[in-house]
Amino acid sequence: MLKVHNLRKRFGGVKAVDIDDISFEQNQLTSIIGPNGAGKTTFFDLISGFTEGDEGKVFLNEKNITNSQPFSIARQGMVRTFQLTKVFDRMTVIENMMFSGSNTKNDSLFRSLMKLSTQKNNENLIREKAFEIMKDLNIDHMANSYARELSGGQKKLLELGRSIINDPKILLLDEPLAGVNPKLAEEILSIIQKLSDQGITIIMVEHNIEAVMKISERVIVLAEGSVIADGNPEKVRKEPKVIEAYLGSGNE
Amino acid sequence: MIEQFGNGLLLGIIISVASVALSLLYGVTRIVNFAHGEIIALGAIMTLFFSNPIDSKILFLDRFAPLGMNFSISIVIAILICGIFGGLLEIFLFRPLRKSEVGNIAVLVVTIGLSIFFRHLYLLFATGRVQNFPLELERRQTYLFFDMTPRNFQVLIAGLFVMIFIGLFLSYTKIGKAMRAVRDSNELANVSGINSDNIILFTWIASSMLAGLAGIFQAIINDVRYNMGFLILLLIFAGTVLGGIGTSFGAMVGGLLIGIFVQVSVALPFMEGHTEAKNAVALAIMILILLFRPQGIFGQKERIS
Repeated sequence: MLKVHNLRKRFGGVKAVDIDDISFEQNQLTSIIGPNGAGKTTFFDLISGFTEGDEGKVFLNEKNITNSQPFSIARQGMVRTFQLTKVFDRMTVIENMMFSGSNTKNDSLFRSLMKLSTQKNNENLIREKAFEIMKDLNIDHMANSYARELSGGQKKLLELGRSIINDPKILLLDEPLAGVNPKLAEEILSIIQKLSDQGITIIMVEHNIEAVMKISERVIVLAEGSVIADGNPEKVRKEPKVIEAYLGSGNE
Repeated sequence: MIEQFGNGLLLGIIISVASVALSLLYGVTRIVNFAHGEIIALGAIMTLFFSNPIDSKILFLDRFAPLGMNFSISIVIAILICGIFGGLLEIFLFRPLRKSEVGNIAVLVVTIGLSIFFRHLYLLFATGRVQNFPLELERRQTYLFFDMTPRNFQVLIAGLFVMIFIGLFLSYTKIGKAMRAVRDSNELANVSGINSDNIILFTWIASSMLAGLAGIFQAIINDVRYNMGFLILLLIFAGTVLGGIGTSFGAMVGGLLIGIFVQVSVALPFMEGHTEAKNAVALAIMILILLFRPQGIFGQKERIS
């Protein structure tokens, strides 16, 4: 579904990403872990179009999307979230949801100026869907609050909701559990699990090892930009290189 | 006092239109555009160039006679030229700067450079003379409480309509919503499928057209000068800050208030014979208001977490 070939990126003298070949299978929940500075977020930036690579190619469903613009990659069904949660601060929660829900398809100026009845209909459908998702995420009571008024955890939920309203094929989650209390982390995990069960391919960068090992079908370990281990959680956990580079000996 | 209030409304509506334009651009692109004043002047100078009678003695670049076109058509063409001007600035200057991640301060200095460059280009093109649009003199009439010429009253009404139009546009059209989205987070807008480059281009064009319109208003009420935009720029900044930086509605109200403060302060007893100090009084009031409401009248305090 998503293939990466010879992807390299340097920042000055630092090798941020240096990956020969990875492909992600449809419907799999993959986690990418690794120490700080391992190139996880840069990898996301590269495949989602936010950073141009020095070399290499990225294919989404056999289509070359190397150096495509971020908006065009999002329209092709690969949606990402950000390490520092981003929401549209000066829009309400429902506006946030509906804005993301309405823009991947038709957006001609003419049609937006003429409020055609089909469009009104369309808008109602999006609104219903937005409320459904918000209910699942337990933020529907905040629908009319401004997004800037939400707590950090609620923003995380809104970001998650916003990213799934268009039925993405691939979801790139950048630290979905960062800075979230244990109870909410549990909730978010079960939502991610549910999304995966619904057939969305998920690639997640996360530091919470317990959570990663619990829900991932595949774990990729990056260190200094390169893949040092790749496989199911049990296999990766026992990999000596991983223990040395990241997991530690376990008696800290 | 009431007479000055009417003048204040007129000045206010000009500053208001220009402030909204500045504020839109700042909100979407984070550019503090010091060349905004030159786009304002461009609107007025272009209108003058297209509409002045061919046989008038004024020559542009000391050589070209004006075109003597219909005044309304000249206004439309001038506004379009301003839009194209803004679009070209974005495509050939500010987009490349953005792509190579030039910092905000450097970009600000670039706009100061542009401002100086174009101001002096206008000095060459339209000379330093104070000029007037080819409009007949009108007698003042009373509208509600205010005495003003019918033409100035039309400017006031047109300005109000423009404000309402901008408000509706931002709230209800898809492209207006997209502008608000890019203003909040460029990255997130992209992830939502918005081509932010197109939105930024549109914002440059819209902001420049509005600036040009403000310049034309200013020239109708007063006159055309090569540095007319620069002279009013400080008041426009004041209007934007007073209303709350980055909020369009705030810029509208802030601009209007600054205009009223400036003109009404002329009528204050201690100002007699010192009318050239009117801007000082207005800006002092602005500072006082900001002391009590640092985020501006309509600015929002951000939740910092």
